[in-house]
Amino acid sequence: MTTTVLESRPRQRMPWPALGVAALVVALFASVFVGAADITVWDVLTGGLSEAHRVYLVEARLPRTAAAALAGASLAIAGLLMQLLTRNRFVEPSTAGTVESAGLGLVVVAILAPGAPIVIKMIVAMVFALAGTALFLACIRRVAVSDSFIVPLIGIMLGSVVGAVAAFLALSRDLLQMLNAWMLADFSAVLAGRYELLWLVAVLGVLAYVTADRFTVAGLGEDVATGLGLDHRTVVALGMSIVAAVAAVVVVTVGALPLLGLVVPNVVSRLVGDDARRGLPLVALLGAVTVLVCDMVGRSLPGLLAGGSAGAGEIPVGTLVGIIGGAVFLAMMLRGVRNG
Amino acid sequence: MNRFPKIVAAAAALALTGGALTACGSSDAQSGGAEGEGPTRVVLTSHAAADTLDELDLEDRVVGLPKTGVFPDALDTYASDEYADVGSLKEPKMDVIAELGPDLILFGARTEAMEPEFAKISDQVIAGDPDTSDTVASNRAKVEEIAALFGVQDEAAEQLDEIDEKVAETRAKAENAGTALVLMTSGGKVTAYGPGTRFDIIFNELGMESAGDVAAEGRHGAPLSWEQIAELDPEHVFVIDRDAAIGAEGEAASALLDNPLFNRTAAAANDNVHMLDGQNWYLVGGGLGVLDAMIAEIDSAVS
Repeated sequence: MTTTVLESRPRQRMPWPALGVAALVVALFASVFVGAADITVWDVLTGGLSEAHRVYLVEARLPRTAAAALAGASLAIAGLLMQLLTRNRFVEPSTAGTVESAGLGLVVVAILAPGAPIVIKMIVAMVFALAGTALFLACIRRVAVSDSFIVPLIGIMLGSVVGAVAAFLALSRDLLQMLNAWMLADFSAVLAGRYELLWLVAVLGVLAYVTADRFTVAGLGEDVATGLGLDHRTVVALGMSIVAAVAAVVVVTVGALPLLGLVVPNVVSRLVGDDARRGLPLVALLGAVTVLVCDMVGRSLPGLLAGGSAGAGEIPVGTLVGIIGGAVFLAMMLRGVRNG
Repeated sequence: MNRFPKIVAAAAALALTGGALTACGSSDAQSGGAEGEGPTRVVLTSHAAADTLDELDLEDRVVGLPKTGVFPDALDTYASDEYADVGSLKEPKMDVIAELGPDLILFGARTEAMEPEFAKISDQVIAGDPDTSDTVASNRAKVEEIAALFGVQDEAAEQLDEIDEKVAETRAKAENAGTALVLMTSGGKVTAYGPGTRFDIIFNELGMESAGDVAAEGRHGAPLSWEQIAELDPEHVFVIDRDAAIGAEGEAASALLDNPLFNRTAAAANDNVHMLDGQNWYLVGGGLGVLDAMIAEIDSAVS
């Protein structure tokens, strides 16, 4: 224990927020200039931009960059909130049944009200996500677990059950391919006019930041929080509503980014500790940077491997995020086992 | 005993006059007769084979085929309840098929893995779909194989030769028509198909030049961004609206394609974006009549 404290001191003096902002600026910049067409900074600065390239920038690359940053930041925040409220480092929307529940909601809308406007889809997905998360919370409360690994396992099992119901419904109505698209983020279809609802999560992120202190206190446990004069139930309800809303909006607009909300807050908490108000902006920054980088790799790697061909396609960003998330999740589990 | 060859001859003659002129001569449905040679209780899970039997006036040999989900317009001969519904194209109901007591099962590519199950139900089990790596040639082989079972090879040969002629005609035009890309839209997303994919017929056999090295792996195509599609700049785009084909909810392909990036392609600028018949291309994909219609679609696109 002593070594941890000694180690963490010099780390905390690092100017993490400044580094985070710098990384985000670089990632945003790179994301705008990476793509099938060769658009250079020089062209933009000197006004030598061709009409085709101007269209690519305005209609595709800027929206795509914004979408990646928004989805990454908001899902990372959602992960942080869930971890604080469940007091468990392994919980995030995809290990608590939240994402699968949102997917089930989308399948239900597609069956009951095909052609419903996207806002209706989003609201239904949100209600399902909220119900799924509430079910998860009820489950872990009833089980009264002492082992922190059991909690995400319960969540993953719950998610599998909900996901199986969604897949069954989808299969019988030929919606499986659509369900798969929702369950794996892919920014290749993002264009101006097709992603703007994602800005809603920016509002939710600000809301989370404003109320951050309450989540920190709630993270101390129900008894302590109540002792400090906090209405624990209301804070949990608020936090879970934010989480469900973020998950629903992201799944509906671009698809799920599995385990992102697990990796990012854990990395940040190693750097600056568990204060939500301090950690939250960093979590948002790192979440955005991670997704931006994964998306850039996903959109350029197949082309590079195929020798610069524009027809090589893309690797969905959800796949890359999932691979990284899975590796980190495993490493955390193994480390936890060793320390425990 | 002597009546049978006459009936077969009469059926062949009827089909030669009727079937040769129209691609889908299904009105003379009664003439085939269940009295000819060959299997009399056929169950299908292949839409292409269903189409072929219809074209060869053998539809009354059919006792069941998949009708759950979207049932292609090209197969409306089988719409009546005389033909039992054996489930969906992907998930046939084995109990229903077993109850029908088929003496021949022609299974589709989507139920390939169930061949051993079919073999327990019927003595004769044959793959009915053409192979997408050489659709025209393997469609010919399939049709000949099916026709031989019923002793109607001559009639089949006539129609097959006609298809080959049309392939040659279309190919001559397509080779000079410029580059092409096949796009499938589903759930608001777009994927591309080039040579070596399930729509290889457009490139390999009908002779369109591919707009680029489109990745060939995967049944659901290569996920391209709109920028990549704009950079490939195809002169012809063939569109298959998967959601419309399978009757699922989804944004119409035309609305999805109407964006500033796609509109920059030569195909969009020159009005060379061709909507293909999704049922024919996605659900049926072959057969004596439907393949003919598919070739005609490409032919009119490059004419």
